[in-house]
Amino acid sequence: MIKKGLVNFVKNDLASISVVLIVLLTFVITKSNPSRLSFTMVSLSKDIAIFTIVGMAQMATLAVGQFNLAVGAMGGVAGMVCGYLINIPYEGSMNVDTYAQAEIGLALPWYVGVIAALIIGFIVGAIQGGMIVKTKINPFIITLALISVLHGLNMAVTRNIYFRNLPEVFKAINKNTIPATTTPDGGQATTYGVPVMFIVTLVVMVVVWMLYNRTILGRKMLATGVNTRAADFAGINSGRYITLAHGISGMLCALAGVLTVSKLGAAQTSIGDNWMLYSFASAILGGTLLNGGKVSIFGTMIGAGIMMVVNTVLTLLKISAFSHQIFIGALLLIAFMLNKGREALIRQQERAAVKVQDDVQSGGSKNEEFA
Amino acid sequence: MRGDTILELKNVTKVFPGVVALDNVDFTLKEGEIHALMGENGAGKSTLIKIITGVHCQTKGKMFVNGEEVIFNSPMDAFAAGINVVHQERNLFPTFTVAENIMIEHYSNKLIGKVDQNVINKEAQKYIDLVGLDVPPTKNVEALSAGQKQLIEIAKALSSDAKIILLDEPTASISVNEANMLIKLIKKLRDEGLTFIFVSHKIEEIFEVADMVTVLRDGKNAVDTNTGEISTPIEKITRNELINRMVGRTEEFESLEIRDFSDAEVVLEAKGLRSTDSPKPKSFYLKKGELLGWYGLVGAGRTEFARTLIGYDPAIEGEQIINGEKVKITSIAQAQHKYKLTYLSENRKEEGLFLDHDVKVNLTSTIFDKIKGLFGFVKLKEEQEIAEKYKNELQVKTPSLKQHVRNLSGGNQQKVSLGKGLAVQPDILIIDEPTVGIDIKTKSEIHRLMHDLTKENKSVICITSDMAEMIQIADRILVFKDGEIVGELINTKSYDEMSKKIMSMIMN
Repeated sequence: MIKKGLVNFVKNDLASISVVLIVLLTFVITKSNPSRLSFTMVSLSKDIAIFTIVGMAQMATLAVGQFNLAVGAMGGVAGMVCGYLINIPYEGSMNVDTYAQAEIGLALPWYVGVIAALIIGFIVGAIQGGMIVKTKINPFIITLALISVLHGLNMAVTRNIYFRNLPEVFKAINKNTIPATTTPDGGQATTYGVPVMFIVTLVVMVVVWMLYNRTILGRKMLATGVNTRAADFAGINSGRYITLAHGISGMLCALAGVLTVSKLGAAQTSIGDNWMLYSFASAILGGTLLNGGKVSIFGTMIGAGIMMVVNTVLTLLKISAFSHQIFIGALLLIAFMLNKGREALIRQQERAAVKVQDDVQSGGSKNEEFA
Repeated sequence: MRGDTILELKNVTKVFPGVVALDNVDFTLKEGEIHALMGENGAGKSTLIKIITGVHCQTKGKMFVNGEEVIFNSPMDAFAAGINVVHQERNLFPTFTVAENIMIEHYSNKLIGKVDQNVINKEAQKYIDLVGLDVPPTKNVEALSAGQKQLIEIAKALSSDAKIILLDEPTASISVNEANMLIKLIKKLRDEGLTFIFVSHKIEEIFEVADMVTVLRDGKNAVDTNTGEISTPIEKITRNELINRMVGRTEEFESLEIRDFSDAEVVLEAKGLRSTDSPKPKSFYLKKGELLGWYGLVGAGRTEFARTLIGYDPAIEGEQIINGEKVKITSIAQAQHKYKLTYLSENRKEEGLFLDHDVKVNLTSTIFDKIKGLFGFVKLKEEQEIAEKYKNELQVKTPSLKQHVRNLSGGNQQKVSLGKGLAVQPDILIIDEPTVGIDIKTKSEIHRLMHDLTKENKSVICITSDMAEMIQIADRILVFKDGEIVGELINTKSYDEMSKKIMSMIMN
């Protein structure tokens, strides 16, 4: 009975990594300075919010059996587009010694910037997907080349400036919480709420979950991912869904880019620079298959959570930020190895279940003899 | 010594979690014989092969080589004991030369060592001659035909001083001519003292090549009911007795009635149709309610032509007519939904099924757009009902609709593949090799199903390389050869008459 429960637990996609996350979180809570804990948690939740979306951007391409190395570059481009559209230009001269601050900007309403960024993200992604489908060149080459092209464009066009005079409403996505955080004058905050950014991510997760679990578009994309040829023979135009998946990926990158701009309070070209590893890590830790055909939305959030919490843990342990990458990399390797074993176990169990069923139906009794 | 027992298995049992794959199986192999190992899918053949070749270790029971007990912990142990296996799938390095592939086991054990190409080529030539191949040792393996690769594998086994060679479905993927040559070679090598275990589904072939036959059924020895022995000399058993031992009953050769379609209307017609992959123009017609068989050897161009008809490889010349209307089909979706024409691939694992998705999604994958509701949401209830319907209609054995198709048996996978095609409610079905690798019971179920479909006034084209099957089920037979239709026969369902006619068409 206990063994069966344990097996079911391990079989659950999310179980093993949830445990890891809980252990890590417990560590953070017990080790941090109580007066700073709430602050830490709020900041952590924002990071998780952004990287969950980055992970889902990768997941969208993994779902159709592809991948997107250019997640960061797409997020960066979208962030800068958004920044340019909503930035309120400074009047008069600026202190060029400290910052290359932008004197340009269209000062459009914040939502125009956000929507435009999402559209740009979708278009860039769809172009990437379209190129992969039409040229039949390996996606590795195309997305790798696009990192360079997009990043280069971003730097060349903007001359690497910062858009930092952003509308207050836009910055509020980062600052505000629900319910509102109350801070007595000049003192520590007394109550905390959930950051708006985190709620945005939750809403997006629900939408993405619906997409893959409840819509025909999701079914077709997953079918394309698990077996492209079989999808073609079932009358599903796989090329179209690969293109669309890249578009969705680009759009999610753009969203993550916009959220990052809000968090930093500035649009800058370095946005997205460290996304690639995290995007794969959180999606795959969460149970999305590298080969396509299976996604896990909640798992991606837990995956992103682990990445971000590990960073916090390392900081709490006073381990130099320079060494963080070693731990993140090692963690990934271990997690993937454990996952491999888990998958083998599931396969074995499923097969045994079918065999037993076969025997029962064909009236065989050979299992009883050896029971 | 010839006739001595060279390999013996006693009371071998193999238990996998939740299932007993082999149950007290005995097997005796004598030196210098060709011993056929037979059984339906799931009978335990593969498990037995894996135990003999050291891939698995038996749970219970003993194994003896030349009278000495052996325990194989890895394939290397079996290899060292002189047992070599030629798998169904080729295990060659395509970019290496013939000689390198044959001699790969003899490469220097030093990590960095000089490979003397001349020595290797010369040494390999001996084995190339031995298997009667006519290719230079320096040729790359990827340039060879399937049959030639098969011979290279045998040459490789010979080079390793194997005493026992296990051939797993050796003729499954090679042409008839190559298969005949292979059988001659095996007999010649047997006469020179080698011992073979020959695993095959093709009963006719077994009668041609084997000396002895051992049958497995449901993981147990199916003993000879006359003598009580586990093995029977091939000359002492008839075709029907053998089938009977494999399935536990006599094969039902249902004689389906001979039907006349001279008055029926034509539903599908091609006139000089050709495409990139099917370059020779072909013409044929299909009548309403007819079961048309396309016979030919592997590579005769039947699959390519079917794929032209469904728009996977669109026609570049000629006419295609459906229900009297000239059509130009450019995509599978169009063929499926607009013209009610469906094709089921012979390659069900790669082109027919989503192995890592569940039965439900597989069954509804062709009709996603029909279960699309508001805002593109899936109509869950309809999805469930349709999947349930085809699962029941085809009697798919699965614990639930949520089961991944990968975990089902071959026969049940094929049923899912068929169900997915039927879900479109097609008027014309093209079914490519529907019974390859499928147990006899499911095979007859599929035959019955195709026949039932024609009774509902649907038209079926069945592509098969199994002549007995073709003659049993088809109303009319088209014979393909080298990418052309070389003949047409009304099927009288008399095996002797039809098979002679078909063969003469193919030989000319």
